[in-house]
Amino acid sequence: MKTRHWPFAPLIVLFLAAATFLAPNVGREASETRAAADYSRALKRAQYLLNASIPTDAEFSADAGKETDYEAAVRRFIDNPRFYDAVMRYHERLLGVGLPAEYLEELQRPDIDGKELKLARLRCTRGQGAASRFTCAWEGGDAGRNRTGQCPKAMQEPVTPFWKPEAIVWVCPSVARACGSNLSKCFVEYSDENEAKNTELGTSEAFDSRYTIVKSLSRQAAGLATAVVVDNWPYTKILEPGLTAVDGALAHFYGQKHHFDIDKLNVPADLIRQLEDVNVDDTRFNLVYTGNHYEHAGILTTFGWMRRYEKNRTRANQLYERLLCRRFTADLPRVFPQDPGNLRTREGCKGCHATLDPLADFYAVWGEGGALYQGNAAAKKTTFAGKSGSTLADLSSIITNDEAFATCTVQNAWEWMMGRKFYKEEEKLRDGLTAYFVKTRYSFRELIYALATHPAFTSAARADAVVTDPLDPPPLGKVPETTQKTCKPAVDFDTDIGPRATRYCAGCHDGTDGRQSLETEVDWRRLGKTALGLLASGSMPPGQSGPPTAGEVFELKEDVRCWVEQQDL
Amino acid sequence: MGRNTRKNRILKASRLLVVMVLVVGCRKEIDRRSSSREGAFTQPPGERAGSLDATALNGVHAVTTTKAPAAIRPDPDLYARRLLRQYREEGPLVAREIGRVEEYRMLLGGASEDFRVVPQESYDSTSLLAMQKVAEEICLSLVAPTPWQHPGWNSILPQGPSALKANVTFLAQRFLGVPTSRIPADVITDLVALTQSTSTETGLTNEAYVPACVALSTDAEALLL
Repeated sequence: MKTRHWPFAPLIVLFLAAATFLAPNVGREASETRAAADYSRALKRAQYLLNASIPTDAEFSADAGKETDYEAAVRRFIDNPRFYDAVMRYHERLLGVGLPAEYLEELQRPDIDGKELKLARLRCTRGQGAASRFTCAWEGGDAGRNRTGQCPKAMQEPVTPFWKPEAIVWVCPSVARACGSNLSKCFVEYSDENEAKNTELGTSEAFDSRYTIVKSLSRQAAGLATAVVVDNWPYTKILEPGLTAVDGALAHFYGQKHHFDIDKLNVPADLIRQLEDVNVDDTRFNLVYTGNHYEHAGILTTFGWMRRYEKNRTRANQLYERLLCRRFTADLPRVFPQDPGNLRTREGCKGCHATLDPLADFYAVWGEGGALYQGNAAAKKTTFAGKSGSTLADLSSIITNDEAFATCTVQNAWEWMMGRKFYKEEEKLRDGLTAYFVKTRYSFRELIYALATHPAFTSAARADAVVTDPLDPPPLGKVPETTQKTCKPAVDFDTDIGPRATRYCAGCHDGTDGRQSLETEVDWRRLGKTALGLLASGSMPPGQSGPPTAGEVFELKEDVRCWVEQQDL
Repeated sequence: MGRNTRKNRILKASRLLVVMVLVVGCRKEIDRRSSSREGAFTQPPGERAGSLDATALNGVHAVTTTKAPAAIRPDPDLYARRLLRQYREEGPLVAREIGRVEEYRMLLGGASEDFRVVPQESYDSTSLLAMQKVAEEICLSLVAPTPWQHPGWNSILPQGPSALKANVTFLAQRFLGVPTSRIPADVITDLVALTQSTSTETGLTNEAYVPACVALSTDAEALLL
């Protein structure tokens, strides 16, 4: 029960009715200047969306006076540390990934000592009163531990907990021995679940392994995309094979191999090694690259994505919608047959399944539900958008080399900033923004700057969020225009391709160590199309940051593309 | 017995001292690590994305539209936290305060834990009423924090309770998100009257500003960006 006494609550209800007059008064000026830019209004919106705060009078004076002041403010918002939180939330909503705490249980090992002990679980609490101690004791579930976990107050030892080194927690000697000097070997539960759930890690003594770890596992995909944006990597990196993102809680989780079956996640050993020094209260996700792992594709193979979208078809469907802005829609048959047979060819089903099922096959090495990684033997050769492959790295390459990915990213960012979809008549605007996004090598930061400073955003007027005549989804199969050059009338292998191919490909691809040979024109006639895909995605030669947009590799890729087209290979 | 107690005390004190030394040492170590963390991880291969291309951007800005942006509802899941974070440091008090209004999050239109229910982008009567309740709780913690519920927090009001107009104007600017010069004078007058009407026999207190704070929080200008 609340103890405060506040007798004026009914007045609020009365006042709410009266308060409605505030809005028209404040908004009147805006409607009078409908056509013009209103930098005060734009500032309020940009600052809230990008930094989650409302401008003060001083900020309005400094930043909303003229266009250049406003633009400088937007740049500051993007450089501000709070931009991280805004982009994180944007991606959480975009990817729709969240997991209840129970999902952690499936990763727990059945026992940790080969006997009956499930988890070395502590329960931490602070007693009542100002001078009370913060203590951690064994949680129930193991009678033996319970007995040895109890000790007189005089025997308790002070230790510094790993989640907040400034705090002191008192534990019995058996706890300190088993859990380590900072308790990091044990699973911790906090007595006040509500506080533990809502605490920003490291800001208080409240810590609960259940919520902290699941929250980070859920947010890993969003964290990866956010780190890509904040560090200004090309946005195509969100699907980069071998790239992941880890915060302190996940580093702590990956380090508890005695509690959790980390192998299920197919986490590269190199990742574990790199995380040894990470402190648990580092709440920000950092990018970690572990080399080219063909079965991984950035956000698409994070635990949160895999478990939230449990079936391979669901995973395929969700990426089709969320990363390519396209939906599977078809006229369903009036009567569903009991055994429809092959959905990819059956009338009434194939409208979706002819595309959806091959797309889902890229996930073949990943089991459904909690099964997770199944090994490379399960890989299938499949196709999407007219391009073939068998691994998630191939799928990543197909998606990032399709203009639909860039266009969809623009569309999603537009909806975040503008609060509505594009109208059909705004196709040129979407195309312009997409071209700019590609031109800045997929810089999401620059895309946001372009949107927040666009006259459409700074407009004083406000419209309905429901767009009655929306723009069509981006078409599949189009290569981003700024990454294509005009082909020479007749590309010659020996003069146009041979020298660069020797420099960038033949050094490794000499037919040894299981690698295909790319030394001769005959080799390129046989493998040119596959090589083109790898060049275009930035997967080859090693060391590319993403799809090449300029330089020697770009020239090689373009000459190969033109040659393949002209030779009809 | 007395000797043992003294011995125990000395033992405990020395343990505590060791811990304190370790804490300071750890903290320094952590700071050092934090500053050099980025270099410790293998970064992805290749170049970073590009930067501003002013010429190309001018070209994009030249493509205009006749359609206006839509009003945006602040994220209902983060409403309370974002409001608090503008004035309060993250910590156990903020966590408890958010915990107090957590039960209203779904009524506000928040997302479910697994995002099967996505955050509401507009308001309905339920979310408006929930907003009023949440605003009441948050306003109390901002405008009139109590020592037993919010130890260490001061009121965000810029002046003492008797400076009615200055305080109300401040609240209006902060909650409506418009420059003070754009707030109509009659709005301030009415808010002053409302606050005065809630004063007690002993005069104005910080608590008297809570109704004005709630009214401003649920005003259309505050509800939509």
